[in-house]
Amino acid sequence: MIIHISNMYKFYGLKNNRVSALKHISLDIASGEMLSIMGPSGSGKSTLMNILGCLDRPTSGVYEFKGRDISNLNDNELAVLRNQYIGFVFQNFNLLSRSTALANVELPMVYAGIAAGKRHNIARELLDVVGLKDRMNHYPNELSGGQKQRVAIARALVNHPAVLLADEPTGNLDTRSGTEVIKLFDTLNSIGVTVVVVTHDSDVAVQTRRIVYIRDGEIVSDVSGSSIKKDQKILPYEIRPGVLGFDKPHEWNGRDGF
Amino acid sequence: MRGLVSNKMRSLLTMLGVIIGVGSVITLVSIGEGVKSSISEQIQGLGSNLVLVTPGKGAVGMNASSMGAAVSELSYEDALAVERNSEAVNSVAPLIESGANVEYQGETKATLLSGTTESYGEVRNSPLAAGEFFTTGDIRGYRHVAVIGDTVSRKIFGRENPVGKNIMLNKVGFEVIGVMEKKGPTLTIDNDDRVFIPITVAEEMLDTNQVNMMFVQAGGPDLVSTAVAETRKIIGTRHRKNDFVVSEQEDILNTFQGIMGTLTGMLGGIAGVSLVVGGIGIMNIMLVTVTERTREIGIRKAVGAKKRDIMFQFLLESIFISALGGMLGIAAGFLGARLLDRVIPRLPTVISPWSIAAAFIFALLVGLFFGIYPARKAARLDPIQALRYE
Repeated sequence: MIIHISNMYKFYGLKNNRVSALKHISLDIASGEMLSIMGPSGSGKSTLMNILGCLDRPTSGVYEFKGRDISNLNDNELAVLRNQYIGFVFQNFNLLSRSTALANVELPMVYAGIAAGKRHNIARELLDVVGLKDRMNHYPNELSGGQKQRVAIARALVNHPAVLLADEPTGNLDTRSGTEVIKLFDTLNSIGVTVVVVTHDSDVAVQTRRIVYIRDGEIVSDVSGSSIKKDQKILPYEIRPGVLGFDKPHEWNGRDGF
Repeated sequence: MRGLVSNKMRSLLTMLGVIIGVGSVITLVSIGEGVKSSISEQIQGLGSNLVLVTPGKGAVGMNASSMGAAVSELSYEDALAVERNSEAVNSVAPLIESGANVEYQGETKATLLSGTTESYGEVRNSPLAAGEFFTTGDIRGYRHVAVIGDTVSRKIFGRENPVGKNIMLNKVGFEVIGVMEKKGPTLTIDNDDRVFIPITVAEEMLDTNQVNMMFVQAGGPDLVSTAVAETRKIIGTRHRKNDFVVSEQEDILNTFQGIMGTLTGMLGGIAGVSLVVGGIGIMNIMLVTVTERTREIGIRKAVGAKKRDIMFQFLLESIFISALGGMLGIAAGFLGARLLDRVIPRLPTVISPWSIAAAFIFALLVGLFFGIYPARKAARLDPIQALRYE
């Protein structure tokens, strides 16, 4: 298990007028899974995503990340965790507008303390993986939405994350680019990356292998398996096996402890 | 850093506070240093191996007599006694000073009248430009002869040769026998606006035998302290009380340098206040920057930036602003000092390396200090809220 959550609650506000965002959440995510968390807006899926991504802490309950309880880690320890084990992809891309695609992809490695030369190489390779080899030195405002999202995905992959967390990754994209992004997730998953997509779009959700449905802060269904049909369109670019050990599923993110 | 470049105008305006601060520290200190060095030069230019005797008990160089009032009696006889009885003393030049009107063929001018002895030129290191100085004979013979300064010569005689001409000093007739070489001004005091007459004549004319001050010249550098001791003893014996001050040139120099050092420090301090104000400007703009870049901070935190990474990033920016401002300020300081030299040539400026170093380091510290609060604010942002910030 990469993620083990049991009986988790999240409240906001003080005692008398507190709002519960999440109630009695239990969720296990295995390494190599690709699942989506669905729900209408206000259902608590963003809160869950924030907690999964170690941006926030649960109020009560158990959250074990790679077997370790993270509920009492401090801000800096959580930062290290995010840096080393979690890749984020956001609806609005969240790229640094004043940095090139390459510099954006390098950013997590800057905070991981990786030397500049090595950073460049890894970032170049990953931009190549997502099909943006010839856009490396472009600034975000010179890229299309789909391209921006692929830069963000490359950034999410740089530190070999245990989990790739995507929050409405297709929300700001046209259908075609959205499909491409989901296909990219699919391909990454097929070579061993654990992917969690948070979405309210069922077209996106059906392309994952497991759908967790959440409403009013509670998980109301958790379906997985062949009942979900998959679209088999080919990506406009290729992911070459062998790059960064992507050909070894389940192993490349198997760093021990943290 | 790229943020700074893309907001050139704003960064420049922010830096302006530091530029003006550092520039004015350097310029104002250069004025103080300039005055200090010009006074020092002047004191050293009084002559060599000098000992100054003044009446009264005031502080060195700042006693009542130099303020214009004689509070005790120091006389020509005292000067003669020192000259006669001290082995260490080479010669003594007493001075009786008073304001006077000098008149020549209808031209009148107010000037400083000094009664002195033949030793004056030697003791004060003041050679003549033309003619000669009066002699012991002139003094003993109460002869009405005068030696005039360069300014008096130019104002009264123009291009005419004054030597041999008759002038009136306070309506008393004198023959000009010499003209002093030009000494140049000390700040606002014109050292050449003077007329010298024999001390005996001055005593008679001004109806006094109070000497305003005495310049005692020791026989050599190693005899100065002996000369001080002997002068003190000889005049003390004559007066039977300690109603005069004997000071070495060195003491006077130190006193003036001390006073000027304090003044310079004050000037620098006042200018330093503007540096602090510049720092507040940096803090202001850094707070704006932090707000503007909330999302960026959120992104950085999401991908693993620790508090200290964010803190360091923003601190670096504010220090960069102050460092760049400091460097431009140094240039501004040089320019300011140069400009002052142009506008007020009498006020020489001397740029001291320590003022540059101090102003620059202070600017850096200001940048660091006023950068801390905005940087802390940035570092403490909640990543979730920062990411959602529009």
